[in-house]
Amino acid sequence: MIELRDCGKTFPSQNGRARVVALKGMDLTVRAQEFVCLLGPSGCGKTTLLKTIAGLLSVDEGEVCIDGRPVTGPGPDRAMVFQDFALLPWANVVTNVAFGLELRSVPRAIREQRARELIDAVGLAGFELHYPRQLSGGMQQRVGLARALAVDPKILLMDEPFGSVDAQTRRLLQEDLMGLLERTRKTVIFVTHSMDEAVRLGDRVVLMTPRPGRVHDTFDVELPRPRPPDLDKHPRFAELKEQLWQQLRAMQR
Amino acid sequence: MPHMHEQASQAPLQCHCPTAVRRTGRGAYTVAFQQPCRLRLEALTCWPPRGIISLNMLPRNPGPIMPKLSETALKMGLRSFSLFVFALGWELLALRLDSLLLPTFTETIAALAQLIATRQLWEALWISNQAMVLGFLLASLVGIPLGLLIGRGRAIERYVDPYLSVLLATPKSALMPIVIMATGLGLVSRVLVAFTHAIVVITVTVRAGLRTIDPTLIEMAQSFGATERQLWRKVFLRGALPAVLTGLRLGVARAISGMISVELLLVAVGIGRLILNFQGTFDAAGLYATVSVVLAEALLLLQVVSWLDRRMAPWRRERDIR
Amino acid sequence: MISPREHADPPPGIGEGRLLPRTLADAQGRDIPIGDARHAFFALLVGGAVWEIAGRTLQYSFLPPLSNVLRAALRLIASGQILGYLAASLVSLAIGYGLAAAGGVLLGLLMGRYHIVEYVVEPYVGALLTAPKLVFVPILYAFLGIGRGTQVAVVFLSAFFVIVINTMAGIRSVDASWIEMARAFGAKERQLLWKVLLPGALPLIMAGLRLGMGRAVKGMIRGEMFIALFGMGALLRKYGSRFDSESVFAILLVVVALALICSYAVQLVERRLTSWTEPRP
Repeated sequence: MIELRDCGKTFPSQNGRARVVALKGMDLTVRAQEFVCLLGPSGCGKTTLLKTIAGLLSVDEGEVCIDGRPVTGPGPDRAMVFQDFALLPWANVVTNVAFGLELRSVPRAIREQRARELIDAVGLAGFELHYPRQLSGGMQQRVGLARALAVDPKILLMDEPFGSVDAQTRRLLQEDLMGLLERTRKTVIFVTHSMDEAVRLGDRVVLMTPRPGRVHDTFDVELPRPRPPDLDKHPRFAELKEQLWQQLRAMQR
Repeated sequence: MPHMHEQASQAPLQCHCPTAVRRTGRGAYTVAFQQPCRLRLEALTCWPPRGIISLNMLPRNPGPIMPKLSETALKMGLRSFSLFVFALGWELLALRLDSLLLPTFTETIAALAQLIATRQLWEALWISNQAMVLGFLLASLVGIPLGLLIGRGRAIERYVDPYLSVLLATPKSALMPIVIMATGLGLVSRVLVAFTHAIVVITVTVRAGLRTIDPTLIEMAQSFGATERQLWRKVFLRGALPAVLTGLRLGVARAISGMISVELLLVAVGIGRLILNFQGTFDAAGLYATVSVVLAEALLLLQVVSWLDRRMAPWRRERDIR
Repeated sequence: MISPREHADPPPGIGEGRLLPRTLADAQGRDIPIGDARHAFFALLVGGAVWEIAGRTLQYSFLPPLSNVLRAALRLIASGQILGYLAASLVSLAIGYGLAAAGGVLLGLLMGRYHIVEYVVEPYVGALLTAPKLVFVPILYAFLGIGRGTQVAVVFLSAFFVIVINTMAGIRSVDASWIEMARAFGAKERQLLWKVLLPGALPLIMAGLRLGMGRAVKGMIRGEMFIALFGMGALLRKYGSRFDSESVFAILLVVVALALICSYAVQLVERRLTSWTEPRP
């Protein structure tokens, strides 16, 4: 469904910074309704890759295609969740969640209705009129998630969404995300640093290597869906994490 | 599991496996125990550290209003007292020096009362403020869009930036002779003087404000398919609003400064003329009274803009764009 | 048994983490440069050309062409006039600004550290900060005479309050955890001041000094224009009253150059002293 063929992206030198080859020879195929985790050390272009799929950046080489059609810009089939939440500070939760719909000129009544449904679904009922600064990090990211789901995208692009919250909140958000996706299956591309998170959430983990960014290896996660509550004790879970860590460690050396 | 605590005493505290420690303010921590009660701890303030030495039990319901009131009362009391000391000191000093040039506090108040009663002051204020208000409004009308455009257009900004830096550093009063030469001695020239004083700071502040908008917000809006027009309406204008208000606040101060400067230096009308008259006739009380009127006006206008600021941009973060 | 180390995630690096500031603006008013010297040079060149052409074609008496202005400048410098007046300006600037810096940092320090001082003094500082300082000159005459003393006082007043509030904000902005840490290691009040508060407040103090310098120059010119006896301001008034626009522009250029040099000097010091800080996000 999503296909990247031999993609390359170079950032030209600017303001004294050297030229950066962010991606080169990048091949990736994502099947419909697959949950793919992009894992890799810093500087391997994970975020750049995500932005090219989102249509915020264009590739210099190769092509990015969704359902056979090349990506030319942002579209209604994709929505992004940001690491720093990116909530409008001057708007309350409802307005923030409805933002994507507002940009598509959905009438106010309908978009607020939809926003409220999603606010409920992410567990923030009662906080509709709060402002981002009144919410904790975890709650803010739920708003971000609700906003992305509000536009009903086929593809969810998540850029280290749980990186800015503490460990306990992270686990809660992971569980809630899994729960939401059980109900409405979507194609998800999830960028993360954490091997634990990658194996916990993904159907497939794509390990990327830096300078320039490209696929190093791919791991299929054969763990049962939905994930059992005692996942941490599952032998395959630990094995996979260990495998990933060995690869990552070798990369850093 | 029982836990024991001592109020500022010698025996060490025994904490039983606090499950989480969180900072809740300057030197304040909240420790969650396994029991359902929360204790707030004061920061370590002695050496060698004796561990936690004092605890405040949080009341079950929100605390009483009393402590807050007394703090405000203390503040106001101190301020009034200092004001009183100031006035008294002034009065005594003036009486002691007995100079023609230093009126006493009471003399100044009397002159002020007299001044307010006559038409002179109000006419002068009207003339002066005409120029100031018009100049300020013009500066806002031109400066805000200009700042927004420069802030958004990277290409233009690179070439305009040197001029803005130069203009910002230039003393605008030095431009006054040129303005007078160009437009004479009437209202237009005074409006232009106020304009030149205010415009640069407004433009620069608005531009800076646009740049403090988190680029991730812009990216986010673009990822949802926002057009340039939508970006402006839904992100830039709202995001730059605090900066616009700050710019207006700074602009008002500069416009007043320009108004006074031109009247004291080049075109003796309005308040400036009043001041010069009082100076010329050695009417020190009148002089001081007029100066306090100017101060009061500046304060008042700034309070108005600050109030507007609070009304319109309550979400603003503490950091100011200076 | 899997050792805890294996569970550790690789550390977030620059570029992917949140360590880099995301925006270009600096809340202290410093701008991370947009473009570089080439653009500035080009822009000023174009501006100069436009000035020259406009001056020649429009033939307004108040807008002489750039070449005439430059010639007037050379004339004034050659006759020694400018240098004499410039020296006078610089002296009052140095004294007034020096006093304002010393006094302003001191008061700001007291206000920042002791809330009582702040409560008492704040209304006065706030009121005087926004007041047009020129109105005080007739009052200052009574105390300091019609001359140098008043001039220095004007420069002082212009810079003082800005420095005070920025210093106060700087002291307030010192991270509370550093103070706690120093206390935990047994720092006394004096050590706290010199080793934690002042260094921590330095970025904002320097910002205040930079803003104060700008205000000092402006106050200097205004004061000199009013007193009209010495300094560049007096020259401006003199040639202004003669409607000698060429000389006025020439002096204006010198004043602008002065303002820029002073501002740049403070910025250099600022950059050296605060190189340890990151630009605020």
